[in-house]
Amino acid sequence: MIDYVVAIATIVGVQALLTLGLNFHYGLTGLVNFGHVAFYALGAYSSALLTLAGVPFLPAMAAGVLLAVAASLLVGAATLRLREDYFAILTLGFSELLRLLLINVREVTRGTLGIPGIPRPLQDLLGGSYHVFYMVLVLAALAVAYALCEVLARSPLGRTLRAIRDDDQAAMALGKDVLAFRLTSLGWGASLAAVAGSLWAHYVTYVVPDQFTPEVTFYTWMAMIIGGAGSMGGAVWGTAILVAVLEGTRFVKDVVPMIDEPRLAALRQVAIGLGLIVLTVYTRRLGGLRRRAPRAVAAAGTS
Amino acid sequence: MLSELVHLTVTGLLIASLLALGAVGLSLTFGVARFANVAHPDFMMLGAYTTFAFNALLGLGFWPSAALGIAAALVVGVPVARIAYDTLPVTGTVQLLVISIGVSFILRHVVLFAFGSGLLQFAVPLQRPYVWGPVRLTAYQILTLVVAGLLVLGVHLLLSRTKLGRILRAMADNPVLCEIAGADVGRARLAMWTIAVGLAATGGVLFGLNLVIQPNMGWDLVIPIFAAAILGGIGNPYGAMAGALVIGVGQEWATLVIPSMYKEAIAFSAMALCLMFRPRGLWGG
Amino acid sequence: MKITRRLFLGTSLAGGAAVALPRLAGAQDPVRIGVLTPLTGGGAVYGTTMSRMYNLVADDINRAGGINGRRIQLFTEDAQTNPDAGVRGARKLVDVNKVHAIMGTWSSAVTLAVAPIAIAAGIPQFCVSSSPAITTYKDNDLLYRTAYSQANMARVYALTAQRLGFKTAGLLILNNPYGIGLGDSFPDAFAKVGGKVTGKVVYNPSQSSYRSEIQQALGGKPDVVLFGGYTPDGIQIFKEWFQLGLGGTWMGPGFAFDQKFIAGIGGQAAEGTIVVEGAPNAASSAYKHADKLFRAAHNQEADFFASMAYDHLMGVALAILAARGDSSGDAIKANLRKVTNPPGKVVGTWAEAAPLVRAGDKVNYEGASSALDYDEHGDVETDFGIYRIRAGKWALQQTIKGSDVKAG
Repeated sequence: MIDYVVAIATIVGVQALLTLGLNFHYGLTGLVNFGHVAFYALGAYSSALLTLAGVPFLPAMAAGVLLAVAASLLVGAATLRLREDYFAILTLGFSELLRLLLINVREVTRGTLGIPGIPRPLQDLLGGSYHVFYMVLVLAALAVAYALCEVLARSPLGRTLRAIRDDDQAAMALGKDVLAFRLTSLGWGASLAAVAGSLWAHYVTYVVPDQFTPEVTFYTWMAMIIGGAGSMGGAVWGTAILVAVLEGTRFVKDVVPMIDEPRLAALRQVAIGLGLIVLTVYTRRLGGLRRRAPRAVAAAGTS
Repeated sequence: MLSELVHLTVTGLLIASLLALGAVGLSLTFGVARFANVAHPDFMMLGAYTTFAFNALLGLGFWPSAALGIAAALVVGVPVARIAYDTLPVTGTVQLLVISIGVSFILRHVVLFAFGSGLLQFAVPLQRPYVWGPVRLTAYQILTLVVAGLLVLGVHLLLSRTKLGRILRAMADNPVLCEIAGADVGRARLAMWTIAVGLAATGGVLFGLNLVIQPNMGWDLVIPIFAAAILGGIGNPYGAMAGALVIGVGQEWATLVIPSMYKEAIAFSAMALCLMFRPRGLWGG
Repeated sequence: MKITRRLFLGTSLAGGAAVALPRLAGAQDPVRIGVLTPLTGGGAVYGTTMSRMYNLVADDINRAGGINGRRIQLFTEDAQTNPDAGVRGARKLVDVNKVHAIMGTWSSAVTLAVAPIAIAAGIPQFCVSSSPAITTYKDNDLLYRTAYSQANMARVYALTAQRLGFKTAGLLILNNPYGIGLGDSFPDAFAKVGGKVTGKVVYNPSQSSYRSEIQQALGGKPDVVLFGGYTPDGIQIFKEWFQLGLGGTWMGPGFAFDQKFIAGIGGQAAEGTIVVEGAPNAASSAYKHADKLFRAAHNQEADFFASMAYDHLMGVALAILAARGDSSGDAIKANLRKVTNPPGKVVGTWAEAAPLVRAGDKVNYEGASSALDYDEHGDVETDFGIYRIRAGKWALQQTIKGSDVKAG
């Protein structure tokens, strides 16, 4: 029982970091980032490759963060001026392009072979209760990230980001460099995702491009919507709820043995799809996806 | 070298026909409903699987299966689109985007659950190609080119010559004015989804006929289809076809200089460059 | 985030886990074997066959009283022909089920992803993967392979091409360790028998169309094209190839050109294709017994993969018996070659071998898939059959012995 709880807590911690990052992008700044998994992947692969080359854990993670931030700035500079659906499609395309590179630049990433045997920090020192130590590490990182996010959200930076989210024309009229603020938000969220990626890589000790599909991005969207986009605390407890609920489905296999793992995984994704639709529509009052200021928005049926 | 170029061009034209059937419908709905329906290519997959069910599982011949399959895809797809995109209370395009992700997840994974992840084929005999010099095409491949061309022509005629077409074009320009002017917007939207899903389902059947059927066959085409629609200018079906030609043939020609595993990067780059420098598309108005 | 129950349970370490299975001391503690084969995905047919054979062998040995009274208990996880799933399965087998050995990993990517986990746990792993990397893998002598290496396979294909009179060859290979490994080894091997490679084309799985790649591979008009992929992509590629009407002869491995492939593309398109596969050690008592068990239960002959599965479990069981019931990784390591390699009385079944091993006599287990003499890398020498597809079936043309392959 204990091991189970420790494992869930660790995974909630890693996923919540992803959700916090996305919440910064969308909840706070209104950026429809459909490519979040790319930053996660950059953090994971950098950390894995560098630690295997002998670089210590923290510097390796830092390098992953730098890489993810650089990528986010590059993508942002090219696409942030576009309207939100184009931005969404481009970020989605970007994360898939990155996955294509991870699969094909085999000299660096070992492609579909993946990178096994990723060293765990302080593994030799801690032996038996390592999993508890790792959970504490992850939760500590989460606590720090959450605190920083709250501080930033309440700061002048946060206020400006919200203003840009709600009406970027007005913000521009007030002299704010909208692009620069958006890039800052993009970079910060990307660095959180990269930290999550690094923590993930050292936890499972194996990374492969298959782990970094858009499914991860939309899982994160779901977690964010549950807790209410814009709320940092919501990002954390929304993640906890999502993980807890989906974990219940793991045990279906024990009760209904004719469903094999791939089928079960498919059902889980159907549930996520349904959840996304239902929550998107019905959590307006719970703080789910922000109401956008009308900006030549189509009359999508009733409104 | 020349014959290699011809080979690549022929392959590119085939891919382009399939992309066109997806892109034209997408361009229509993107222009009229004003949001990016990421699940649109999954309607292609739907058409392929419903046809497969009639053909390989129920044992019907290919043609009856295709007809029934496309009909079934319409019966499933149009209500799904109407419910998800036209009737749910939403306040903005972001919600529609997220909903479309949800629809894509559901469509793909229901199919995965029911049919598994394996690569499937229609039960049709293999054919030998007609050969004109370096050009090699089987009867089905010629059919694909012809059907795609005719359907796109049909959409063009519909938009330019019929009352429905006028309403749709007006909705793309100014939806609020349309309602005020008394146009039957609801029925027009129903027609729009029917056209879009029908085109996509047909594209999916042709895709399955020529290539392979697998649950991600639509999702894998999201970027190329969006690229084609964007290049052609949203709301412009001829533009979408032209965009599909550029992407389809361009990707194949690109393999002369870049390794073929990076083909998919071409569509993404084209789309990104287009959006950065000419967002209304090469042929957009 | 790929979260699974396996990952949760699997990442808990033995330590002070409150949910740990009560440790049963002594002779009644079963010998726990982890079966990690593909039950879904591209390797499903082979994984299912192997899983069935492991069960048959375990039952066979348990019926005879087990290993000095300890029954064999199998724990099966589906590797899904996917390294990520394989890793999650391995974690569960090692951390939760506490298996004494892992066997059955089929795809090279899965084997190589799982190996660090087995090695860290100090338990042996038996695979049927073909990547050359497995030979030189720093495995602390814990990774064993009963199949051929692609490095050898390259030489086999070269010999096959030579014997069938082909002078030029093209390559169409999958972008994964197996395909790339073959692509790297074949050109040299073919050059050594006087052949020339006209072109090497790499393809990705799940592409919409392979027309360009096929045309490129056939571009130099080679006498034969070597296909380094799996059945699903094989079906799609052959379909497109046939409909291009380009002609040409193909050569490839048995697991790509199996019955499912032939059924998928039809006898006409498959006609004449050359298939190279490992040939079981048909003359051995081990093979005869394995075949008998398999036919009785599944009405099918034991193929190369079923034979290898038989050998994995027999080898481990005999090693544990020779170690007087000690099932630790070190004990198995120390005794495996003692029971599988010469000298010693040749045996092939539990009934033949167990009494001798118990009495302390030296045996030489000759396996169903090969003589099963593990070398210092944990590899063995296998024979190969060359087949041509005629009227929808494999027709044996000739055999290439392992010794011929080594000679190159």
